[in-house]
Amino acid sequence: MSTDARGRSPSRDLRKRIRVRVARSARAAAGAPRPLVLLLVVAAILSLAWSLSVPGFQAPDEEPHFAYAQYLAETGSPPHLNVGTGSLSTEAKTAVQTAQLHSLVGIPGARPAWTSADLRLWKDQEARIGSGQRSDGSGPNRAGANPPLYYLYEAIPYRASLWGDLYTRLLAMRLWTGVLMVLTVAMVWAIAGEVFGPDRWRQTVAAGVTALQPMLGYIGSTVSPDGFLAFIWTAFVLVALRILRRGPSLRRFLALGVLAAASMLTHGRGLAIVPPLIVVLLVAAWRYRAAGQPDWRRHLGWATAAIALAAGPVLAWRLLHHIEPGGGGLYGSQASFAGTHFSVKQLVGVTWQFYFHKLPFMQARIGPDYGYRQVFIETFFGTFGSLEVRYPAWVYDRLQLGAAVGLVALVATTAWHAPAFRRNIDVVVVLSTVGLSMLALLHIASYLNLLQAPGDPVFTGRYLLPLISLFALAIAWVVGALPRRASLVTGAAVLGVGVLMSLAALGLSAARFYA
Amino acid sequence: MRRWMAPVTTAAIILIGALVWFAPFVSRSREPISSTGASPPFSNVTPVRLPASSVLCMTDVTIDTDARIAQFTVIPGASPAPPLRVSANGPDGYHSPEVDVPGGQRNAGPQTASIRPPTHPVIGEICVRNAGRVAISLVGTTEDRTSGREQAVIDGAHIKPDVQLTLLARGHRTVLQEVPAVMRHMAAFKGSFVSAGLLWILLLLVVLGVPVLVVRAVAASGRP
Repeated sequence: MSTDARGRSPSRDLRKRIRVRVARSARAAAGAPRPLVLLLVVAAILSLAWSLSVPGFQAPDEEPHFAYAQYLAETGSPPHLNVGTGSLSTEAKTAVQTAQLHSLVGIPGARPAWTSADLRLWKDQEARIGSGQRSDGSGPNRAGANPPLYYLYEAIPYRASLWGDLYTRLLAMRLWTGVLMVLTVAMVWAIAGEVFGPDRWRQTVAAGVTALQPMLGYIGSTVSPDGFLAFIWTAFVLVALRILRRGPSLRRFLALGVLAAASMLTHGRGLAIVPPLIVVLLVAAWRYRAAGQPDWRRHLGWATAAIALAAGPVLAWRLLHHIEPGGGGLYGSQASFAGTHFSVKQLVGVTWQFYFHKLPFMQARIGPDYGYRQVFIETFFGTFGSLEVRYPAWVYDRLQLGAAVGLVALVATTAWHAPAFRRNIDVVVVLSTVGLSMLALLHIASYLNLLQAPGDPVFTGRYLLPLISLFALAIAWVVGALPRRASLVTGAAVLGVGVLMSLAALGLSAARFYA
Repeated sequence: MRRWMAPVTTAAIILIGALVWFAPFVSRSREPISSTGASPPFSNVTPVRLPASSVLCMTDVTIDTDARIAQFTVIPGASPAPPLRVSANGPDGYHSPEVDVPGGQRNAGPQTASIRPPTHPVIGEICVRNAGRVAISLVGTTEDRTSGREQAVIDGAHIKPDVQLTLLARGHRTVLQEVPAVMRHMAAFKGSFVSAGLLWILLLLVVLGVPVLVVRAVAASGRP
């Protein structure tokens, strides 16, 4: 065994360092604020419940996402978008067919298999499956246009649970995604702390809203890159705020770059992180140069390193990964401009009519009657299963009313507290850019897709989950600005409604699939 | 400021919501599905023609111990629907004798036939014999998204469409009465270490633990 000059072995040093780190983390966890700990437990329970209550492959596009992760974990390569030996591996195909899962997707009258006879059939079939049948799902896979980061993350629980059957691996992968959902709640608590200071009430409201957002709980506990992207964007917002609030440091800039790269290596929608990255760096440069910080040139170097860190892996991925014919441009549908007749005027018209009635000089909106209610209300707050499990209509009506009241209250609160708003203009600019950048990308991608396939707007509420921290901050900001008694009642009522919606969503899903 | 105001508000909202929203939902009566033989079409119906005296069998269908009613949908032609005879068979000597389904319908609609359930769940077949003198069609589908394990066979020859078939338990039950069955069903195909017992614990954590923890978080947020 090798030793250093003082006779210590490096592995012993490493073990000691790990022990110190673990002890420090345990002390920090023990000293964590009680409301946060309680809300993290709530998030963990809900995540576990979602992971176990949804039959395999019933979450949106869970089949191709699982197939991608399985193929990557088994072969080290991503599956093809348009060609290949099969969308699913033989193992996954057999599992899906035996448990009647494919014919269950989106059909409320169908039920999965659940009897001992079905389980015996699966055991018999599973005994005949070898590694070759796990690794033959090379495509075509419609998730094949996605970059590999999320699937690499999912390859860890997949490989770690190879001892189990496919359903054990699927559950391990769901739980592994669920860990990030719980961490997202913790980060929203920290973000609220950066924005509002150590205000327990506002932090509780913000973290509680996140933990109880039914769609985040659902999507964040299935095999889907949407939950992963929500985690990355929330972490990005936290690091950006720390740079603005606490000052630049090499670690913070590197973290910002890594998170931006992670976003772009997760999904096409992750590209929307580029404008916020640039704005954070510009705002930080402006703020700290204006403050006469002597280190600003060094910080500029760090910022450049952050950009390089973000761009490097993405460029490497695009250079190494062959773009398949017919697979769209960069990242497939989320950022494909190929073969379309892009018109800014038409884009503005389509986007306007997403929110408002058509103005006389506008062309009629392309595609179905689909707008903010479907995206910001119905599919953001909750449409479960493969869109067939829904709350009663009156719930969406009241949510829409609540969202409208909340929006008016947000504007009024902002106007009322204009001086505080101006004092924190750097934070406002960064948070606004985060929101607008994602919304702009979603509208542009939706418009481009409508040009090619007018029936499908490719814009749904779960795509907004990366903005969950902004949603939580907006509610906490309004609630915290009310007079104390009204603030307590309103915030407590919002969290009570969140509990009801989360429990109702789980109950509706369980009844749809198993009763 | 009274410390109890916020947690009491949260608890009250949850209680009122549970009474107004959840109680009617869990006490609503419904026909429990025992198993799905073949999913109904998602968007396109493919009528499956069953000539007079022919027998259509749906094979590889799960027949559970609570399966009492076979439900399928008929589409009569120009003449009124002929009478049908429905039977079920499976391994280990399972056999549910033919029962008559009277004809005479002129419009498309669901038909049901009572079957005798097996003593243990089996993967068997449900057969429909056309006992009349005119052909009839049954609702089927060739959609890829509804294609499952089952196979449809007419007079011994495989056909492409699946014929929609649902097996129902007898009577109506509320969601609340179905909870033990839901826990059992949920535990299937979830991996090696998931059991109905574990899911009961999780159910308690969700139904009681989540509200209590949120109320406590709200209460704790007011403390220094």
